Amino acid sequence: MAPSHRVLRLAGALCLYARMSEDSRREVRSGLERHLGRLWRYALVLSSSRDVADDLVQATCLRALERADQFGSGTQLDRWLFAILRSIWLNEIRARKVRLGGGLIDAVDALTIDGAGMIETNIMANEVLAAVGRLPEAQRETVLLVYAEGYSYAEAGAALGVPIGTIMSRLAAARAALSRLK
Amino acid sequence: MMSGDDERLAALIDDELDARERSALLERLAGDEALRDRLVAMRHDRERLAGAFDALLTAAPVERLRATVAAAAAGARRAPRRRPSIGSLELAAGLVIGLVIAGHASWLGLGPGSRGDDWRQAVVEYMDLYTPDTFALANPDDAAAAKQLQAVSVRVGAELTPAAVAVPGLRFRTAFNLAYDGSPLAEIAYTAADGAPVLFCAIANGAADEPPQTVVRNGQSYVAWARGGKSYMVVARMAAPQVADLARTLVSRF
Repeated sequence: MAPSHRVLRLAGALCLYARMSEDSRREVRSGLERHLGRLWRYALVLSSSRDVADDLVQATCLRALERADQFGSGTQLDRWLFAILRSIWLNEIRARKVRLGGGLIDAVDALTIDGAGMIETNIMANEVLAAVGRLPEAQRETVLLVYAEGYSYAEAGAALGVPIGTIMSRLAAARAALSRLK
Repeated sequence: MMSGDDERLAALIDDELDARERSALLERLAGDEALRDRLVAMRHDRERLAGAFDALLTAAPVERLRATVAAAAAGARRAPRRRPSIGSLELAAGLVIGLVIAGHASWLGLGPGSRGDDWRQAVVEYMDLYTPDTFALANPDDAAAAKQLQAVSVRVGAELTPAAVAVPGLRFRTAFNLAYDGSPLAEIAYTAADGAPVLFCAIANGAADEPPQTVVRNGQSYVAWARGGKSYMVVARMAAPQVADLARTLVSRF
């Protein structure tokens, strides 16, 4: 998103946001803050770029503030935010990257832990993340939602718009990639 | 092992089997050591994956992201009380952003008692959001410009008259009030011949006098100085010598 557009969008979001009830604002805001790390992780897994992940999380927050009045209190806020993030990724950011011919970045290097002091746990984690990074985007996303975010197969299928069988085959592919690490 | 066993074992681990499937698989596991080994290996893989994703979570720049969200909330609280109606949506956006970033600074730990030029860092950060488009629609006539400057002069306690803030080569676009840590902050926006935004900011923060110095930060250059209890800066996304040239007139006047 061009900076000037982002400025306008943020201003628009804030104007709407100011009119909402304090309770609603507080719920959305505190929810956003609580889920920022997980939103960023999802954004990174999708985009394979830390810069894009930052932008994607920011855009998600703005969109969530704009649409906070559409958030039902019975809904899980994190799932709602994830859906917003995914929608922005698919419809705005990824589409633009592909259209511009920039292609998509190899996720292998993006999905690593920086400055980890190279303790053994993180070395192992980076090996696993590198394997995940070599998976196609759809598989990376499915693995994250099910294995890290605790989505059931049915929930993941609904979130991604695919049958449960597709979820299972994507997970199988991810496991196969991991098994090659040994 | 049978075809589809991996999927069934994964579903068992993930608690996705119905009672009948689960019972049948457990029965097979009881009599099939290879299948049991495979289950153990797959459970291990799942734990490794979950552990790696957990580790990735620790790499998330949560504080930075949190500051952005908190700033949005702070800006929204202040926005309805903002003073000027600048007359174009983009400028209003710029103002809101200014307020946002003013709030943002305190979330970044740039509050009272921190270094005296932290307000400048806040300005540099929101300057990042300005483009030539931001001020393209701001074309105040002389009377409107004088009125805006009068409003910021009163707040910040400086003689920011049209003549005093005129800079050769820069076109005055707008002036408006912000605040940083409770201190009035005047922002005067210009554009260069190519449309690039240039800001002259003055804050009544009681700072000790300091001579002009040029700083490059975040891809921006600015000239900073303080005189008479006020701190000033001229900032633009330009090379340092270019900004120093633009600032020279203002440094001589304030």
